[in-house]
Amino acid sequence: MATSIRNAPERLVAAAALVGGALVAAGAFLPWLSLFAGLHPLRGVIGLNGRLLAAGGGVCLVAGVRYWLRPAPGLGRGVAVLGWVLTGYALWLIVQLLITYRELRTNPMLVPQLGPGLFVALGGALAAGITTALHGAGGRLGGGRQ
Amino acid sequence: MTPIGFRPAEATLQCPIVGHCINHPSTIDLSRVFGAGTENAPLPAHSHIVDQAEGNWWELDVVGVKDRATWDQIVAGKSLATVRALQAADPSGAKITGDIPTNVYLFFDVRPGSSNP
Repeated sequence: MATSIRNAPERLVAAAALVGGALVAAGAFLPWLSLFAGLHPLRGVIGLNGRLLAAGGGVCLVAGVRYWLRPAPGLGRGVAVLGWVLTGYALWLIVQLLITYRELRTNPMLVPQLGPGLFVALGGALAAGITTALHGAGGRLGGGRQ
Repeated sequence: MTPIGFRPAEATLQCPIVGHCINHPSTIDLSRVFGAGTENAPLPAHSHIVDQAEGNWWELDVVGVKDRATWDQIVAGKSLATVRALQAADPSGAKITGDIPTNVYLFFDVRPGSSNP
């Protein structure tokens, strides 16, 4: 399949959006928290916040595919903005998660444990946001080089 | 004892219904982190095996049971020895997990009664 990608920064931005979006979506489906020492996982998508995060990751992934096939400055900027929005959202959710975890730990019967989901999602969002912002700024996203 | 992937008969559980278990609710509010739809997340059904009846510090270990037949054997045995035998017969953990240690200690005293299973 022929692609319109012309240089390494564009490939990097597209790959970061693809991988970052996939990680954000995967993080929403992984356990964020578990009860009974890990035996009862609570995945992000059981609630609205996890579903929104999964949708955001999906949009980021699709944008990465689209950018790989047809790079456009506006699309690159959009991926950068989406990456930072997802980063902020994931960070806010991690704060809420830690508060919830602290509250649940006060009940000894629940034996809560933190899960990897939100941290995976945060990693993906950061990968998309940072890579796109850094490499996009000197390339097409900045509008200075064709 | 926590069933994984199946729902045992309520008669075999100590904590399927509000009020049947000490010190925890039947639902928990997870909406702070998970959002709408998780205000009343049901707490997983589970049961307990007490191997020391007199009042003391109890160390809490979690054991997962993965099929109904194994669960029913534990219900019939009603002892830690039954759990140990099942764990020994299933070293791969396909039907029952090993003890999952926690850093939780409870201080309880068990008295004879007839209302709880």
